Amino acid sequence: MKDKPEILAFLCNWCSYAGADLAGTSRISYPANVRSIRVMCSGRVEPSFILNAFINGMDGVLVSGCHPGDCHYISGNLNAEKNVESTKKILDLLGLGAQRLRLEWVSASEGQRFANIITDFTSTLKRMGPNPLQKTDRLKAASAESDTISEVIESSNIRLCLECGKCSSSCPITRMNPDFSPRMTVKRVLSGAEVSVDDPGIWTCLTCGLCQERCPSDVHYVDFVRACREKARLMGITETCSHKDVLLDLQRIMANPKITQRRLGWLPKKAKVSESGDILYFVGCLPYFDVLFNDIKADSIETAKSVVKIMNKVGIEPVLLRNERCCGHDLYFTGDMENFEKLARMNVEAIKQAKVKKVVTSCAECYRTMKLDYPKIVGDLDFDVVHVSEFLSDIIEKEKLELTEVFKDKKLVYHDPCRLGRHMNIYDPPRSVIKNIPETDLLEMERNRENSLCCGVSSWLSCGKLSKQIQIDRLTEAKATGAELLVTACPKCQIHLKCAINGELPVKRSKINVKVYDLPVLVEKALNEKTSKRRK
Amino acid sequence: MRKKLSQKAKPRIGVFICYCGINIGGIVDIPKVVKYAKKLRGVAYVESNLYTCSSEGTSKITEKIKEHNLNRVVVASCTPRTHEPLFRETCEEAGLNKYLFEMANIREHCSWVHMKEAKNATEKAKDIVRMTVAKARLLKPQEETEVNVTPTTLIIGAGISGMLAALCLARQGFEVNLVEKEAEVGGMLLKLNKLYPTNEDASQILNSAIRAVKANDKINLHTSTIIQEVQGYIGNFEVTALKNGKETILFNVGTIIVATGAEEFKPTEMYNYGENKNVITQLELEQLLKTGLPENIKKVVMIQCVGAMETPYPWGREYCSRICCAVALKNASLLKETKSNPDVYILYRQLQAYGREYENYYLKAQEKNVKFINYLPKKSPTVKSEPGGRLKVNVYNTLIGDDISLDCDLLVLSTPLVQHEAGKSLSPILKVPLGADGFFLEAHVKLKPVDFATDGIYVCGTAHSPKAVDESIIQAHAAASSAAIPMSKGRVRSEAITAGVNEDFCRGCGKCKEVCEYNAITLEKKVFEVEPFICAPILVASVNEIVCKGCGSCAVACPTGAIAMKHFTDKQILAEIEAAYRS
Repeated sequence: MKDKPEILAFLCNWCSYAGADLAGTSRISYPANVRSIRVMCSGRVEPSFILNAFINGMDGVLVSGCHPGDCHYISGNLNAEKNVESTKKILDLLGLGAQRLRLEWVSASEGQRFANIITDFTSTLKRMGPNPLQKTDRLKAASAESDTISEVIESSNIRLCLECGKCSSSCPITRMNPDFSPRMTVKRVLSGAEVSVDDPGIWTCLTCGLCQERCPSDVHYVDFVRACREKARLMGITETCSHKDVLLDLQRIMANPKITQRRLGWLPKKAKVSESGDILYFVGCLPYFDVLFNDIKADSIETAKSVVKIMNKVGIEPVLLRNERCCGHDLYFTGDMENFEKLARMNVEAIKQAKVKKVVTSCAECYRTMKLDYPKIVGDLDFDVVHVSEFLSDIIEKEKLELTEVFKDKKLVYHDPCRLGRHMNIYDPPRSVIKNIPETDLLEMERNRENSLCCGVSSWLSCGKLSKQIQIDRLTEAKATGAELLVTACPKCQIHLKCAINGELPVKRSKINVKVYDLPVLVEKALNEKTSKRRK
Repeated sequence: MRKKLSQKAKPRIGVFICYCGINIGGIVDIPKVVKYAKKLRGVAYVESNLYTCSSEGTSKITEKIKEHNLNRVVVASCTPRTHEPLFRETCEEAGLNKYLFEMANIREHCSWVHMKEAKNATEKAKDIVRMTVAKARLLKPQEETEVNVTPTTLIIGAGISGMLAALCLARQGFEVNLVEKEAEVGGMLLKLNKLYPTNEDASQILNSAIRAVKANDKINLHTSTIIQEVQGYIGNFEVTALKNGKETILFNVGTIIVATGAEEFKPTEMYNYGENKNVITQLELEQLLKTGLPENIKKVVMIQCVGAMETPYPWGREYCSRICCAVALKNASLLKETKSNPDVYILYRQLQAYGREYENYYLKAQEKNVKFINYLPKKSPTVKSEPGGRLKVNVYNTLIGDDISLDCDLLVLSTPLVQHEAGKSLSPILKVPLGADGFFLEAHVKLKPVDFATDGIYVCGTAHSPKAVDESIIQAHAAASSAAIPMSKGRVRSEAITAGVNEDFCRGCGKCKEVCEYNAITLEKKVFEVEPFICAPILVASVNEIVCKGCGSCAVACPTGAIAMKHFTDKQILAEIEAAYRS
């Protein structure tokens, strides 16, 4: 049991570290429960460092830099301020409390101030109590005997491979990087060559499923890759996901039963939700995306607000789980089964307690995970899982929802998310929803439905040069149809495509600048006008 | 032929734990820390030393590196801000890349701040060593680039310090750009009458310096010129200045010396200053003594420590301004030598008359019948203006234990030197810090007394802290000689701690470029030709390592981790985080 709160301090070399040194030179005493890490600039402190400190059981994190205007690198401390503010929001959402994270300006001459801050922070943390996360909660890498994946091949029909090469010629990664080849990987496995689990091919795959869609022989390449990753993780081999693993770390934190989140702050005042009912809206990680992807204007939380608004419009007051945890899709697909199972069980238990009949989700990944993968862990679910596109298509058909001409004369194109389309065979409901928006033209990209091109990133893995090329390819294709709006049905697709549009481009912006809309937001916008018309 | 030690093999870390006399060893149980360090993964050798920074200590490191085939070194002792360069050099001498070295601060951050908690300090020292070893395991060798140093210097401020530093450098053959914001050179000395303790004319010293400066053709003097912008780095600073309010001048220099001086604090609303014209400061008295003391001045009272040694104001005048007591003694003696020979009283808190010279100076003043009254800060003198302009000063004389009242014709307030606005505004332009007292803060009070933490910029004179003219001149020579070091070598090695890009992960989004304050990052269009495809073009970030300052903001902005900070990589810092506390 800890008797003193554990504080981790990030100190910038030029000011704060020197200030802490001065406290030493001046023999000023302060509590001994702080450990310092020297960085050149407070702007070096990543949100992932802060989260990792909490994952490791520390009770408080101090980020300290030069006073504004004095930064040795001009504005690094202002970057630190932005990063800390954003991380504080995440800590509040997680229920850990933003006060566990402090940002202070300590100059090289402020030795006493440094000591005072540590003393004060220690009392604050004593009042807050210890971090619910403990170091011992962290996943211990279990050992596996061999590092080959031959055992894994049985479950994925790899032996059925005809070596026709349709997979490789379809693969969006192979198209940009011929060194990557599903057929090659399968061939190596079948020829007895030991393909070890740290083969980069295992981690670069998008698991989009285009290969197995085209495979004439029913090879389940996606399952194969996922199982390899699971095996690799057990051997301590993992890949760091993009955004410095923050998204996956958040999921792992949510998998800890001691975490009680505070994640309903996004609900507008007028929104009507209930504690019990037939329908539950599974929000997913949208509140977190909203903080993390603010800079690319992903507006992820608008999806959630739109869903609730639409539901309210047709007289549904959905149940929202107070402590809804990530569905765990990314953990599942990166092979972290231990934490995935925890999430699955906790979510299913919470949904059961809510005694609902139907769960509606606005995310293609949550949809696949709950409908297809949760039963593998908990057995049959005693509630229905539907994607929001199915829900919307349903209520439009039953004439409960009237849509207006707000998008008059606009041309739209719909992007099939991998998880909704190829993985779960849902192609028509989103299209029928869009077609019901009056005076619009729904066009199709050449690569649509089963042939849809992945948005370029899966489970935050391997985002890089290749994914950007894929995204530009997809956006160019969308723009080339003549459409002005690109509609997605998955917040991940929305984030990845918007990220590509945001920032510098190797091609003319006019070639790719479609406006990306998530389906529920599109529908909600087509709703609003009617409401204001009614008021007249 | 130096043997290059295998640096790609598994880490073999040597840990050298320092007693630092009793500074660490007196509180931290060093043998326990040694025992603990031996158990850490990757540690091949551990020893303790009394003073690791001594020549004995460093030669032991060299010896053990070779003997035990160490390829990483950790020294657990004081702050890296003091001796990191020394120990890095030691590693280099032993054939080890100097970036394979890391320090564990168990003194300033441990023993010295937990002096009454020996047990906790020992546990903390173990933790700090463990964290440092965790990072050391992941250290990689780095290569430094060398840059040319322009053998030209820029000196900001043409007071006595600036001018003497200029002469010192010009006489060594360096080009000097001497910049002064006023129309006239000379700074504070222009306002001074005589200098203590010799009582010679300030103008004599000043004029000889000015003559020498104007005669030296290596010194380019620019008056009425202010500094607007400074870009670049040691050896290659680009400075933009504005002359006469309209002409822009660009300087390309290798080093910069700050000699901007200080100003006298004006004690508005203290002791009737500003209300009664017979209340003046010591600097104003200097002027009065120059022009001639009016004959009706029969009684003079001086109050010391006005606006000094107080609880901190916004600019924290907690400090003793060092010179005011000597100035008061000087001016008191000079007053006694005038025709009027007024009575002079000096009201003091603590008379700073240090050393042989000033003690004598004090005795002489007493011999001239200057009277000294000690007052307490809690019972400061009070002043009342009388009709006719005379002043009544009431003070509690601590030695006789009673209030006394003094009527005087002239009240002189000894006020401290303070940083002036021009100096304050120079701090963000040069990116050099000001201390709590407002003066420029040196890198280290003993080891780098005239350098700033930023390489290539130096400071001297009262810009650094209040001091006498002779002390300013000594410091000016010190700054000039420090500046001469990189300029005479002609080349300087830049830090290897820069950013680097892994092109596979670079999305070309430009977020790194956006946050870089030094324009060190460019995005280049690349078309990858992979047979039989010609792949879609992509933008890839590229870092100019000479301009990169190694702040790491780009690494945080990068969404994929393509751009990384050498020597402060994500993995290294995460290893430290994980090792911070035991479970």
